Amino acid sequence: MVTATQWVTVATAIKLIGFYAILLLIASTVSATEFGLFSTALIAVNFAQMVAEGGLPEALIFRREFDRVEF
Amino acid sequence: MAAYFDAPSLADLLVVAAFVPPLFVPGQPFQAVLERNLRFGLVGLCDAVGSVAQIVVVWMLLDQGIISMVWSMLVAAGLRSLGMVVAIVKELRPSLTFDLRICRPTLRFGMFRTGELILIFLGLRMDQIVIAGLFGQHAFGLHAFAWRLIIEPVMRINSIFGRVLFPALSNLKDEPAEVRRLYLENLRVICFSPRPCRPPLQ
Repeated sequence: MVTATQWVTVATAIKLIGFYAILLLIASTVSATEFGLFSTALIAVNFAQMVAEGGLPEALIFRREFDRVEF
Repeated sequence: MAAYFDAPSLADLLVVAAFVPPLFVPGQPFQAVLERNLRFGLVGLCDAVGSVAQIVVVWMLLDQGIISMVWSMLVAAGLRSLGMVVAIVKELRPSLTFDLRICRPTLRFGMFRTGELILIFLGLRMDQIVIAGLFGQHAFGLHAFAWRLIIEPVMRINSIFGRVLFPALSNLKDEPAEVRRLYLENLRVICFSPRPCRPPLQ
């Protein structure tokens, strides 16, 4: 349990560093309008991703046992 | 969508961005199996590789403007999904058969979860949709940048407990006393941690 938390913490830290590095990179080259366009597109992408997943990951985690046919 | 937000150039971004879900979503069931088995090391590795690839792509395509962000998302989603599939497919290769009777319980669970996620999504993003629609892309760009800078890191840190606790508690679902003990223990840690956060199970 602690190891799992440690792994996720390390991965989240790397993702956060990457996230800030990307913001730093684009802040100097991209205008506010362009970033607004990207963020608007991101709303649509996130929504589509969420609906396409259909809650399947959580359902698989919640079910303890399943074979390859069920998977 | 581009017409609603009065931003014709949004259509060009959406054409490329539309490929992100088809690349990202196939990896999710494999990630779920890894998380269910508490193999967070592999999940973390795939996440880290995706993040590094994202930085590299943005850096390489920086002169092309904001489309570099979209390409970087595509590459990261593809690499991440590929990593998850490779990590699991040897031990659990999905069968290409479809039987609604087998799928029904999972689909039913997923349907309720999706409904819940849509409500959470609308609660979190409604301000952005309104700002983008009413005040234009420039104002929304400033808002979105500040939002990403301040709120998104907090949300990512919050998700650590939820990601680990949900599979751990699912494994113990037949032992309510142990579930209660573990949940309260984690709640205590969260309550005393010096950052804005919420209980891990929504």
